[in-house]
Amino acid sequence: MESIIAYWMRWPSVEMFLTNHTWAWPLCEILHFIGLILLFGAVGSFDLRLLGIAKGLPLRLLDRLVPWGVFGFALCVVTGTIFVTGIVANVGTHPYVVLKTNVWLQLKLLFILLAGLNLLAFHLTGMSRVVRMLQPGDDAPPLARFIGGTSLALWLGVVYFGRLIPWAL
Amino acid sequence: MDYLTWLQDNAFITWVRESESLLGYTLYLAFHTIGMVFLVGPNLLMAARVLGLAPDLPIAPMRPLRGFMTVGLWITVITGSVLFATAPVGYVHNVVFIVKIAAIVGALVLLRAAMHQLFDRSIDPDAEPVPMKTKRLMAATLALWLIAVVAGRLTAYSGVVVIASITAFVIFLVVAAAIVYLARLRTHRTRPVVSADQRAVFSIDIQPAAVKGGK
Repeated sequence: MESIIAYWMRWPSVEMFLTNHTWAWPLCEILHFIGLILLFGAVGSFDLRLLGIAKGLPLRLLDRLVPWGVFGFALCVVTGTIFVTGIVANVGTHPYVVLKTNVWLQLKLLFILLAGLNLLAFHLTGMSRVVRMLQPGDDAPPLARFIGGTSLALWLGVVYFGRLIPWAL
Repeated sequence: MDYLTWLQDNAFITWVRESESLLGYTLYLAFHTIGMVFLVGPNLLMAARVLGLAPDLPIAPMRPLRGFMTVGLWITVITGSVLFATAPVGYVHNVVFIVKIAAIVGALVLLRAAMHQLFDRSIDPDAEPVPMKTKRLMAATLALWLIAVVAGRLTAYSGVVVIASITAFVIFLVVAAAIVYLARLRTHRTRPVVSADQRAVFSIDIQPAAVKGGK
């Protein structure tokens, strides 16, 4: 099983591309950061409104910008996958070894998973429907505020752990 | 240069640079990024409204986000100053770093002017269309943030890699812009043209139906 995961995690074609094109890794880094900013611009603003900051903004309208955050997240996932699967080109360590030994990468992935579960809870508890009906100036229900605060904390954790990954390679 | 060398050799800065503690270099590096997203994230929301991506969002209620952005700015400035102090001699000779700082200063000046236009005037910003001057200020701010992010990432690289990466990023932007432009063109072509009169009739027809359907 271990060898299958290790086999799937290493993409020689990505490695080759990163090795042969010196601009590819920095370009992915730039796009990873742009994705991060888009994610925080859309989802972070939504979370802040849930927490009661800028209460005059209708959540129904902020919700329409969330696809931009999803686009930013997709940009991060694609570039992040390139980093991991082609990491041999940069540091010479097999991605499976990195995944097994780099605690910051493990924590980052765990926090992304928790952020996903938090989003699922937002929809399954009906909070997503409730907050869309809130008028400007209305407070979000306590559960929605809790989910918003958790989302913000988890994404900040993702950024924090993400910045630490290279220091444990 | 003597001052920069003294700064670099300062006991605290030496500890930050060389310590493997989580309170050392990595803390400042991580919070530099967190401060940046606190600052630029809400700026994107304002830009989305001002530049027409979210035309229905009210402007005035965004005012409290300014305080949040100020916190982000201070986190970025403090952590950035410590990071700079860990290798000041190298940074002042790094053209990419100088471009980054110039872009950040420019973005902050223009952002401040744009927010002054939006929030500090006596008239209600939602009562009239956003003035062209404010739109230009906000668009220029976004462009400068983009330059700052690109330069920030490339500060760690040298010569040929920087030029190749900038070229690749510009090509990426041009291709992405062309795809968006063509997609919009296609949408406009396939969407039936509806006159203002017809639209008025539709809106009259639709509204009672929506009331009947609602519970």
